[in-house]
Amino acid sequence: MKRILTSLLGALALTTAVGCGPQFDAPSEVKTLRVLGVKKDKPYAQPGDTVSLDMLWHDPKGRKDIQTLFLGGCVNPPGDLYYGCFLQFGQSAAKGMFPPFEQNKNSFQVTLPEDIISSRRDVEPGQPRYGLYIVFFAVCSGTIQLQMDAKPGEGSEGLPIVCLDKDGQALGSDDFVVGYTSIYSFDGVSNANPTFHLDDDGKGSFSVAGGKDIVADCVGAACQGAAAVEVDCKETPERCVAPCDDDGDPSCPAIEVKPAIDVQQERDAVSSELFKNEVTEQMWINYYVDHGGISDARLLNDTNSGWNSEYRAQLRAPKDAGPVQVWAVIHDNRGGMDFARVTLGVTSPK
Amino acid sequence: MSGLGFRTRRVPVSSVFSRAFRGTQGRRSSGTCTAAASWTFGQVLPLALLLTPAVAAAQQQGDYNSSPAGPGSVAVKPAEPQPEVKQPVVVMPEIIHFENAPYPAEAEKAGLQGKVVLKLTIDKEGNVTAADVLEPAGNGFDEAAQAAALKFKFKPATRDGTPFAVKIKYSYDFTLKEVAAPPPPPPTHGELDGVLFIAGADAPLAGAEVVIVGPDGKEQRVATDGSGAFKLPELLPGKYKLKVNATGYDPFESEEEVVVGEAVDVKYRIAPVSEGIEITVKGERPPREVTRRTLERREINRIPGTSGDALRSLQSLPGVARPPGLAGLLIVRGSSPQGTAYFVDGSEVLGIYHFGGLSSVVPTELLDQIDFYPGNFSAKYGRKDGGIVDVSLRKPDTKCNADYGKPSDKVGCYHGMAQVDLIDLRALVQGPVPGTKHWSFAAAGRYSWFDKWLKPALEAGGSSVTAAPVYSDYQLIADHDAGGSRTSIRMFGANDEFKIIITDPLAQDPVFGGSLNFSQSFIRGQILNETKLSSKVDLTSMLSIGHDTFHFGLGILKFDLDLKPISWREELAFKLAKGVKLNAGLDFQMSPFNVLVRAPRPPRPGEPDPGPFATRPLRESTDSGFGFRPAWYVEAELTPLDRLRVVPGVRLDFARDSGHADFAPRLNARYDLIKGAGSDGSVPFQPRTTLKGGVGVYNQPPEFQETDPVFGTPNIDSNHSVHYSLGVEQELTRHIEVSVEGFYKDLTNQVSRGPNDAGGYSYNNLGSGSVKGLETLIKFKPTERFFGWIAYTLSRSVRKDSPLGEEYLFQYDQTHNLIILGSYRLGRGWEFGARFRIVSGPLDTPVVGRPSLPAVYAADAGSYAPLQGKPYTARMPLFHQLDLRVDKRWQFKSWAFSTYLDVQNAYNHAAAESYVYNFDYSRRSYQTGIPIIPSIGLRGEL
Repeated sequence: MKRILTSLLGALALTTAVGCGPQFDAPSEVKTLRVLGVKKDKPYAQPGDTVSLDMLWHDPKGRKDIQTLFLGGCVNPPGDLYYGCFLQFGQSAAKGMFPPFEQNKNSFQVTLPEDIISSRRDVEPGQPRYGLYIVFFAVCSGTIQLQMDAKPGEGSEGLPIVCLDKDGQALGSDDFVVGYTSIYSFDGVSNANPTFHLDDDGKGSFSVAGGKDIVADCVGAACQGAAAVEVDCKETPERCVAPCDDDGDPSCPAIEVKPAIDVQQERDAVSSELFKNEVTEQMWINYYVDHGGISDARLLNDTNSGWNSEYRAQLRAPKDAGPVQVWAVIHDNRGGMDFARVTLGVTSPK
Repeated sequence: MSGLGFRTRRVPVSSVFSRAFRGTQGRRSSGTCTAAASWTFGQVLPLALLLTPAVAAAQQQGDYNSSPAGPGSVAVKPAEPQPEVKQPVVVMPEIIHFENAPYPAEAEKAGLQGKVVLKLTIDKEGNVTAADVLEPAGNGFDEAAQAAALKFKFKPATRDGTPFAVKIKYSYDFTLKEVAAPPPPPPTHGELDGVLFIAGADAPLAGAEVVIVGPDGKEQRVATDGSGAFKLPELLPGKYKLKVNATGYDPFESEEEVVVGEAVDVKYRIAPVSEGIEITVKGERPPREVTRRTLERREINRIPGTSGDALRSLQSLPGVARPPGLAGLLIVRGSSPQGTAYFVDGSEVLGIYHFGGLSSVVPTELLDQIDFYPGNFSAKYGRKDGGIVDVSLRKPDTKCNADYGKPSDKVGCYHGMAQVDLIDLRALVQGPVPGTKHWSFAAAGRYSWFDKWLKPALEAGGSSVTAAPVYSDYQLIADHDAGGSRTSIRMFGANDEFKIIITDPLAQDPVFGGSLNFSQSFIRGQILNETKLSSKVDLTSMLSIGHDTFHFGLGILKFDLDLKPISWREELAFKLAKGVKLNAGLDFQMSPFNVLVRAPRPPRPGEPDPGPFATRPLRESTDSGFGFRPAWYVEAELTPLDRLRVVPGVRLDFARDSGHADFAPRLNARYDLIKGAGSDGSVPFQPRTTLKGGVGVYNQPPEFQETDPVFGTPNIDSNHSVHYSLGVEQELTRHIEVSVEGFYKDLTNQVSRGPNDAGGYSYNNLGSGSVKGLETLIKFKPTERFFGWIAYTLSRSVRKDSPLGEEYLFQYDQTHNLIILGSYRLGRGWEFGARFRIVSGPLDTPVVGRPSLPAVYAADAGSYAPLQGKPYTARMPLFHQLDLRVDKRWQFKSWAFSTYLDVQNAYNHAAAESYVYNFDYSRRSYQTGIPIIPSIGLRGEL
């Protein structure tokens, strides 16, 4: 293990140094149908709790017929592996017991079994006992179908959700996203979602060029399908950037974007007790943009080095004038999440 | 010490002198009389050689033993005065046909004996054209001696290889035969015979001085004759230190053991004054393994693409797969990197590379020898089912050089070296310990500095990682050599460190964010002792105590390891009888340890991607204890026939951590189908053909994480394998040898992982697999100008996770691996080398998923988990790469300066190492390996 770790580290350092990899579009550039986050009101839930989930997705093509799906019912899959659910689904379906699901909604509720912790048998000595509930979700520009096989393909090949176009052909990742989110249940332990800082009116804010604060378009579940915001670059030049022919390239002009976030270095109770050492959550923020380019992920809190206040992102100018939507999604390493959106603008060419 | 020595031990002979008559008609056997010559070496004074100043000087210093030519006392002088030239090599005539003179009947009847001194005139063809009596004996002796002498035939005398006529004094003794020769007294002495050759040219080295110092401290000197031979008879048993001094050649030292009643034949190749610091990287001893690969120092220093790193050079040998990128992994015969162990003089170290491959933790300058066993290794080694690398540190150099590279009798001098290249700085100093007689020392150190220039380069390039690793290593050797026994005390260690705060977590898995803190270090204190307990029993001991630390922290992940390993090896070697040697040893590894791991449960290679780790609950495992893995082995070295060598052995291993014991019988054999001769140029060349083979059981205990109660499954058993190999070595010419070896490994009881009854996954021993392959090596042995080889390995390595599971290619399977390399000395200090490799591309697990959907979105982490196909079913395109190296050396009177340019990937081929994907795995490309990397080094030596 040590030798492998050492080699990996050396290879990582050198690969980074020599930069041998190709260039792809950054994950922060939303150019296809994407899910940007799924927020649970209880990232850590207790047995019997009902957990609400809100999905944030975006289709840059603005299609109106996007289908959505939530699929629950997977409890304690082998090895905590998401693909361990496929066999559960298949076996349940074969018995005529279809798992709970919801179509064409952006929210979903699941109730954890009362025995989600006690029924778990795969517990290593000295480790905390917990239960795991996995919820799958999907967005599709065609028609979603569930195909549950009693003997699914090995490993991750047995994915039971497909998205078909009008000709019955499977759609790919530009038009179809399947994902999963995990709800952990530790006895008596909760986890609060990280939060954007809200003012007295309950509105979030972003700091932009010149350190000026602007009001966020939305925070949380309200962001799904939130109406576009007009930006008048003459009146609010601080939220605008000049267009760039290189469309989001690092060489393009940029403005800084920094959402206001409550500094929450929440104690990780499970790890602290396990490690017999106070441990805080690891936190980071993902940025997304529908035009131009922006920083991908930025560190928010490190359990060792603490809070990183320099989590701002650089929005790099797109080539076309118009509004630019920027999403910020905060994560903690225990499944906690929150999201917010702000709209910036690109000035018209003179 | 430089050059190459090898030795053979002959069976005891009743009289060492009997060999002097080999090829002559020296023993009078007819009749009742004998003219048996009483060769006494001290009587032989070749007058011609007296004209050679060097030989004359050698004679003044001690006994001068010339090569015997035949019965009778012979004095040789040149027929014509020769102008004195600088060190002409003059070879006296050698009798090749001796004519028995009939014993005069009357003298025999009267019981008379006589000695006739003749002056023989020998022409350029070796014929005796005249035999004049100088000292008559009368009684018919003179006529008989004259008549017989005219029928003698000599190999003519030569001067620098050109025959010339000579006149010699010859004493013909007529002695009445004894009724019965008394039985020879039991031998009390041994003998050391040898031949010196010029390394590279394979020509005899005449006129060299051979100095030996015996166990009693007494010194003897001889000079080599025209055929490079020397003889040291009547030696007391014990270990002798031997030195060779020859102007224009590297000083050479060796240690030989003289045994009562035995004559030890040695052959040494003495290297001309070398370019480069002295390192002997080859030590020959009778093999206990089927295959042992050794690299000579020049090869190590000059293999292109390695920057002179000795251990990296191993990756150019057959049977060793090309590791991905710059990784320093040794993947031997289809085994995992963990299947190969690294030892420094018998003490195992967990890694021999800084940062997994940047450079070796032991610098080349301090290496004495590297032994690499790709399989079917001796019972001396265990706990691994791949290969063994055993590195020996060198003995400090205390010899003095009058001018650089020229030999001197004087010892007690200091040497130093300093080098700088783009990666690190290094220095070495060695010499005698002041105020002591037998102690010497070497101290070396190395410190990396490439972080100083890489950091600004990364910043300028916009890289999010703007730090670089830092490493250092050090070695201290104190050596005590008093002739009879040798004790060496060492301390060596290394440190690696890398710290950074990653403020831009990896989009593929944000767990790779936050503070990254990596450090590892090891230190070893080691004592080695070689003692001769008796003439037939040797004891070799090694004890090392060390401290290893390893720390890896990344955000909330942590891996801390603290070991205090103790290694203890003892080996007793018994010479039981002729051709029977028994080695019995123990190999104990003990280690107090503390380990802490905080991480999600990792997948095993080949399992589908489990998704990002960023939001998975952590497990923690802490453990302290005392690891104990004792082993005992017995091995016999049998030579029932001159051409056959069989080495059966058994080894018993116990691992306290797993609670399992492993028994490993092994058998290796070599048979010279055609016994070779003359590869050193001493006799007409006869190409050697050797068949070799082996079969043996090898066991490898499970890895730590596999038996850990939290991350693994306690009490799982060791991996078992049976190694089979069969091959042939064929000399084609004096310089070219071909070896072909097929191998097969049957892997059983392999640690695998699968679903358990509790609904989780656990480790088991249901895995299996096999490795089969063929290694071919065409090697051009190093000469003064050139070395090189062509190595080709064909192999297939497969695994199965369970008896009913599907067989798949092992992660490091490499079907074809062709390496062509060579280095040529152009003269004037220039040397040029190239290495070209064509290798099957590495394997990768493709992302396939359902039609058109390659990955699922892991919302909690904000990244994707690929939907993978069957493991390791995608092979990258063929890898090929050319490495070039140019060396230039300037030699000054007392020091030398050299520089090199080593260019890896000279034509900048973008070799595919793996697939790399975009964020949702919908697009892929190749992750390419290193681009063109030039490396420049400067070195000064004195």
